[in-house]
Amino acid sequence: MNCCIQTDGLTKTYGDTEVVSSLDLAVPCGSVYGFLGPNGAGKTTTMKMLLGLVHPTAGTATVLGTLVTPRNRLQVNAHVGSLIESPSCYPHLTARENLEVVRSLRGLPKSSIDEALATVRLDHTGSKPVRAFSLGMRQRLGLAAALMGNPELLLLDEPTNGLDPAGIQEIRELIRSLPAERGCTVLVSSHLLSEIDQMSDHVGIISHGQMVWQGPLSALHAQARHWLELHTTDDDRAAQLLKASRTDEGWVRVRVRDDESVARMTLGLAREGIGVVRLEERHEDLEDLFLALTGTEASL
Amino acid sequence: MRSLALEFAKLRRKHVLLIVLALVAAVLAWLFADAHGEGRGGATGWHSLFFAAPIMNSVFLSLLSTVVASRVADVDHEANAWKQLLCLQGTGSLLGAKLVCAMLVVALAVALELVGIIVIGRMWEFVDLPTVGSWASLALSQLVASLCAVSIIGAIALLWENQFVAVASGLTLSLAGLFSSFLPTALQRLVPSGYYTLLTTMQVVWGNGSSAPVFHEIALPLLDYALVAAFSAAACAYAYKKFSRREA
Repeated sequence: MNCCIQTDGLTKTYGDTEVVSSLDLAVPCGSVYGFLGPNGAGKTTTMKMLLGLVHPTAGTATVLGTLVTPRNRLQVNAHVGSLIESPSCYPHLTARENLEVVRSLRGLPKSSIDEALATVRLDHTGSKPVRAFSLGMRQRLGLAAALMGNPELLLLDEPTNGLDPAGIQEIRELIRSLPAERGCTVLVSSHLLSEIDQMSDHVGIISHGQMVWQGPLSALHAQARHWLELHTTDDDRAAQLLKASRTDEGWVRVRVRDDESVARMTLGLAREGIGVVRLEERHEDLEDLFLALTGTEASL
Repeated sequence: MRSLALEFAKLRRKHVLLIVLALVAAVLAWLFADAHGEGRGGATGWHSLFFAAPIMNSVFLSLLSTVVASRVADVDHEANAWKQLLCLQGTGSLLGAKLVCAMLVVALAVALELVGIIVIGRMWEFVDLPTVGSWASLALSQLVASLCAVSIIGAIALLWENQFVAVASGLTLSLAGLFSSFLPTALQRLVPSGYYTLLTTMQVVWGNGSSAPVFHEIALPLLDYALVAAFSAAACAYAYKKFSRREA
């Protein structure tokens, strides 16, 4: 697997507190990698270390094939777009003037500003200063700055913060389309499971600074346990016969088996004079898995 | 140059030029009153203006240096822009551009002030227009003294996001500049804004039984230039060291 980001034992300690602990992150090139974790798990600190804004206490980070050091930070970041925490916006300047700062620093053509503004649909803002922008508009401006110059790698820290539902959907679609349309790799952090589920194809789950799970999203879904729940004309007897447990709602819960076993089970119940009233297949969702992996609430 | 142009672009709509004009106008108004006291065609009119300008500058130019240095740093604090800038720009280039930007604004103020002094002197028909060397010496002394103020206040403004600290320090510097002229030279050298008058080559002697001041020019005070350069370099080096170690 060709990785655009690879960390090896990346650690950051503030005083006695280990914020990021021996993190081995592997972001495949061309993927949308969802970096998932509760608030305070160490996502932002990790992303700042990848950009060279925070110096690791131990371990290394390799970004786009280059080991990040304080000396080569600028060379590496020339190919990286980022939006970390809140967007950087000069409130007294217009959106165009704000992007002019990034354009100038990146040495891009003037047309890149129009392109970036159109991508995040801020091309109509004209002479309006950013101080008059809503939180969502500022977030879009931050995204536009990150997208300028079509970077090979995008680091987006909770990019949908402050957006309205339509805006959230729009940005999610944009992020999802980036690898195919612009050929870039995206590392996007969030504490929202549903968001990562909708945007990413790879996921890393971080808790208390440690990576608790990492891999393709499909593999995470495949880890989910499956079972059957049924209601019968006599649930107590059915549970006894099937050696099954009962849920709080009174359902009889049995481990999922192949179709043949399920058929035998229902016929067996029928032979005992117990009619199957309802039979439903259930499985753990991503939130249950997240809860099990991190030991926290699903979305904090 | 690109970094410097960016600093000026970021100051757009921050009314820096207005502040420059207001403070230069305040200095010139004072100098105009001073010239009025000399009377039309006064023999020591130019000397008097050359002596009074640095005294006024120790208050007003140190205040302008404070405001400009604070603005230049605060514009990025306010925008929460350090993360973005430090991803794309070297710390030395960023801080250097800020220092040069602030100094160019102060240089504009000094240039306007010198033009104003010429106009005032001409209006009052003072005789014996000073030589180009004298004008250059006055400009240099005020710029170097401002460099010290900009470096110190700039360092404070960079390291403390709350600009109250920088502005309060600048106001203290400005007040100290006003009173530093009354201190012995050794003590005056400890006050950064005291260098506006220490570096000037126009000196005055009071006394000899006469109430009229006697002006005379001295050679460039090289020791004081060296001291103020050392103060400025120390402030810049401290700001660079602290800032480059700070994590965004």
